[in-house]
Amino acid sequence: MKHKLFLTLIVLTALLLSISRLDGTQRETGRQQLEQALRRTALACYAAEGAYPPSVEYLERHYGLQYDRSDYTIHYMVSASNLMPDITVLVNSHETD
Amino acid sequence: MKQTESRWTALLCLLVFTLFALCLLLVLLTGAEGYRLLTDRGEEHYARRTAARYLTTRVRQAEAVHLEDFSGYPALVLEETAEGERYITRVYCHGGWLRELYSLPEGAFSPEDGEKLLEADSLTLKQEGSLLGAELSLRSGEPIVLWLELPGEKEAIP
Repeated sequence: MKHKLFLTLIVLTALLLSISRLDGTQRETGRQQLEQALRRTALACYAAEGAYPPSVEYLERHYGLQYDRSDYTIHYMVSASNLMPDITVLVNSHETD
Repeated sequence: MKQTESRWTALLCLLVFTLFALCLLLVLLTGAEGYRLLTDRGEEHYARRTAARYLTTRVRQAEAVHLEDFSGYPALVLEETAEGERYITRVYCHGGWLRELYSLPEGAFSPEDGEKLLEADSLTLKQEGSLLGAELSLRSGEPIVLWLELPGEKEAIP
């Protein structure tokens, strides 16, 4: 009986650890996808207008870019209108108090 | 007899569960393959559309356009004036990428210095009178062929 309980606890713990790790992997994949989408949309804007977009809001307004602000923070730095902006996407931590 | 029956029942349950799991796996694999084909097609359309639009926009925006050999790579040279200074933008293919290099005309740069734009294998350029012909071979799909009128080449219509 004790063995079975112990085994059940181990299996449950392993399952919960896997689920939490999966969540982390998913968010990292989402981060990479958002970064790629930002670069592709910025390049599409450059191809169409001859200048890179001045801000992320410009991409949202004119190119239909959408992302979850609660999950990701975008660092978007423009150096010149004919140079690809410096784009970094960060995953927000959801810590409960 | 009862033991044999219960064994057969257990085996049957196991078989049904296995069959269900296999069907589930098959559905997942089919869906994943379909999604992969969809994304590949979307990627190809994006590359073709963006490349064609980029070349068209850049040629139309330039004050003057000419072709040159950039360290062995055919390059499109677009001239512009900014704050009284003359600048050029070289568009060429190098290292599997369509690249763009913005610099002063006398700047000493190499093909690796250009900023990567799109994945492309080669860019072929030719000029026939007032028309510029460009053939861009992308990683997938057929090459893009464009014929663009060079800026400043239009004749006034009487």
